[in-house]
Amino acid sequence: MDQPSTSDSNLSTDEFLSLPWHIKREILSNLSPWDLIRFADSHPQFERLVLNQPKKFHLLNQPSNLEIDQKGSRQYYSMDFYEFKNEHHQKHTIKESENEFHYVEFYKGDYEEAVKKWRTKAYKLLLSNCSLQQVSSPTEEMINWSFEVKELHEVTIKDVSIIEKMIEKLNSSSLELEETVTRCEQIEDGWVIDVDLFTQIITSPKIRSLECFSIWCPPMCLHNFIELKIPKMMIRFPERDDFSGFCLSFMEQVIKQWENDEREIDMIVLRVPFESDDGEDENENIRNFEINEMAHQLAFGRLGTFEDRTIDRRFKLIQRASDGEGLLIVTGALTMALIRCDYKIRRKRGLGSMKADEEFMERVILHFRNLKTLRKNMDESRKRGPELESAIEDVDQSMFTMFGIEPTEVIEEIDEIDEEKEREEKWKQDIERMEISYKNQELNLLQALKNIIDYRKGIPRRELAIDQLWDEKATKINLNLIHEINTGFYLNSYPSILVHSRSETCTDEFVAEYIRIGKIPNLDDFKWI
Amino acid sequence: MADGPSGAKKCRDDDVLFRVKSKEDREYTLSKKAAQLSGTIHHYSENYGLDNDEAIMKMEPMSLLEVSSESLHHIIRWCEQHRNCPIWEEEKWWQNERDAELTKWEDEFMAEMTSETLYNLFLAANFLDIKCLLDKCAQSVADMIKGKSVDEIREIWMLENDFTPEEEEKIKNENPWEAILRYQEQLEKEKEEQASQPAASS
Repeated sequence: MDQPSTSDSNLSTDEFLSLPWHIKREILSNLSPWDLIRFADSHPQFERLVLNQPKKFHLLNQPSNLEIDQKGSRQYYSMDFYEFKNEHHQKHTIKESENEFHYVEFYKGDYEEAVKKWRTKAYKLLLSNCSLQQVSSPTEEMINWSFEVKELHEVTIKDVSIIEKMIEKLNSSSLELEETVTRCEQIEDGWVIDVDLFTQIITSPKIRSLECFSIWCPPMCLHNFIELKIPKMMIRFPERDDFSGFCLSFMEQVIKQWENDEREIDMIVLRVPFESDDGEDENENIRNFEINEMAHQLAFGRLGTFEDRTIDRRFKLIQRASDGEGLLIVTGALTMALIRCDYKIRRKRGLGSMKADEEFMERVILHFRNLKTLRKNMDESRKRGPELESAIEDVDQSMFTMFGIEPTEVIEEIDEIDEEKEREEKWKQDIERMEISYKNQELNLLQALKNIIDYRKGIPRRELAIDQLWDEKATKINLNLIHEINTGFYLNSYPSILVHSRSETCTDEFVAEYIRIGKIPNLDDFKWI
Repeated sequence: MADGPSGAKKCRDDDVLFRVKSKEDREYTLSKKAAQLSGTIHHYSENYGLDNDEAIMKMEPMSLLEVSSESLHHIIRWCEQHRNCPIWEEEKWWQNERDAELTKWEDEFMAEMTSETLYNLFLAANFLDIKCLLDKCAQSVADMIKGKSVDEIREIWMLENDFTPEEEEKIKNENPWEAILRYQEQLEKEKEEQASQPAASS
């Protein structure tokens, strides 16, 4: 967190409130989300200001997790609640992991109730007038909070009219329904779907207009999605003996629609969520065997193929005759996926490899961190000067006295002047050495940046992201990636973006910033590397 | 008036000078480069053909009727200090280069401001459309809020919480028109009572 300024000047509340509205907004735009909440809590008029303040977040979840795109890189805030008890009050602490700030609030009554109330209030304050990428577990009351969100994530609402209203009012283009929405009861064979609700959902014009949709349904309901032509879909279903037949028939029809220009596909994923994929479950292995054969069956007799004929049969490439567009058929890990790709690039590239890209990225991270450490050491050394060493010398001198040795004063003075000169000389040399290694490290970082840019040159981002589907080490589909898509966090964005760890995402942003400004960007703006 | 933090730049004798007048009719000058930081002066010079040094040297002072002498003095100090800075890119503020010395100067500059001066400076910077000063003012006010607890914020802004949480909740949820009508009814009732009291006593 930024340190408060040294300024003693305080605006009075009246002066602050009488400032023009755009200046008040400018002031509030400097505050972190948690600052905004506390500010709103302190006075009803401040609360109104916070509610009207335009905000922009990436993700808001519960709202204890928050991601914000700021300063060219993403910042992460999270909040944990702790409970303490004393004689008169209970209090909770909100710990902000971003800045280690502890906020203690006294309250009476039930702790859970107080936290719930606080969360709802905070949610409303942060969401009002906000534009964000994704919100988790939206509730009906949010419809009137005047904000816009692209992705509705983990929706548990069972009323279609409310979902429709939500899509319309919040201007959403992506919807991920929780399994509990369409699943109603468990019988011997498995879960039963609420047919009426399911039909209402997939025939709703609002839902049909979405760009991205994720739902749970039994495999025998798959045919319903033939007419639901949303470009990005994730359909999860329970494991059943006859599921592969339904899947094959559905995929076949979808591919035909795509070939005949009757449907556009960005990414369609069918998935049986299994607890694990460690290869020890016999049932799972049989299912995977059936699924793995599907790519081969679906691509058989169709136009297009990889240049390298030896590529794993779980991955197949086909081409649309009308415009030459490519479609990658991917199977494995109880997943079947159809992904639009650049046919010419993919044909040559095969499954691709993220290993080289990851290695280049690691090098950027390494040199970035070295450079940052060196700069920190240099700053500290400059600030400290030769004095610290002199303090150590003083201690040594006092030790002489402790043992009753008293050097003569004249010699002491001469020695002190000489030592001081020597120390200063040594300190200057150290600084010079550090400056040289800083410049070398800068050159190393520039070289690493050049390497990664050269490697990525001419390859569209989407194709790089598609490369991530193939796990070279395990020689099969990338399970982690499928899991990430399955949880819904990357459903809307993949393969438009590369799925990375927080540090890699930040490194990617650092590379992009370097390309944009043509020089090494400010290292402090990329604190997650 | 104090000249501010040490090393504050002043316009040189050979600079081309813009003439401006405060609302108290006091005249000030500022260098062409410093004047460029103000969107308002920039538009003024475009509209009045002050596009060459000769025209600027011959110009009549520009009247800034919204800006007091004190604020104008501070504004000129700020602009002269920032006259060699790269153009302010509002949308990409992180790109604006911050050199440590300038930041130190800015902090000292802001530390001098009293509540009233800061308020007036804010309004003057807004009127003159000086983005970097507006940003700095906004930042220093935001610093009064950053990382503070609710009680600390109330203390700094001298806010008294007279209401119990129940009362506060009630006020927030109340229909304002209903409250006004109820208040008017109450006033009328009180008037009627006052009018009836002397009649009863007589």
